[in-house]
Amino acid sequence: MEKYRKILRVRMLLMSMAIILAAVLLFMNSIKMVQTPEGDELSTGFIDGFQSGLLAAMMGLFVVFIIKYLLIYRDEKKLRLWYNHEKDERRQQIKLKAGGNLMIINSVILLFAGIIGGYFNVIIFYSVVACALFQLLVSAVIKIYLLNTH
Amino acid sequence: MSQADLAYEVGTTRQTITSIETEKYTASLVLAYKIANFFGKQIEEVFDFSEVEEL
Repeated sequence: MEKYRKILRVRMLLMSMAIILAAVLLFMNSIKMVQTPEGDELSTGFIDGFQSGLLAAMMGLFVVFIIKYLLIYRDEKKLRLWYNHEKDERRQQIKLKAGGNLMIINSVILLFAGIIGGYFNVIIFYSVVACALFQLLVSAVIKIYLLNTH
Repeated sequence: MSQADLAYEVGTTRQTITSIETEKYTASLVLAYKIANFFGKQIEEVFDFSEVEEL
């Protein structure tokens, strides 16, 4: 269990670093949004807003995860239960059938690609982000279905 | 003993124990061994794999 504690510590550290990075980017993005020059199209603001929303959601999600991990970390029984939950063979099998981590990694890459592509053409932004969200949606639906039937 | 207690002891979740009991999920050899070992029995005394479809 000590090995798993170490894994949780590393995860919390990485998430803390991601929160700081996201906070910096969010701050920079906010300044940029305030100084949006006249003549910019609505879509420019939309992309900026999407970026800010994504960063804020990421920060919120990581804060929730860090609190959750801290509570688990301090309680031996909770730690064992969470370990069992993460290593549970049935859940791992369902996760694999629903695309596993690859689906999430793909979607995140697509989201970032969409944001970058959005600076060149707004159609790219909408298409790629829609693909990423659709991919995540399909994976989530399959996972929920399998959790209830397996 | 509750399903949650058994799950805790063999390193799985209550939902998995429920799925095994309701025959929605077939336990792996390792999990089957852990469950049988927990009760101090042989795997074939606890599980009946005769009707499990092969992949």
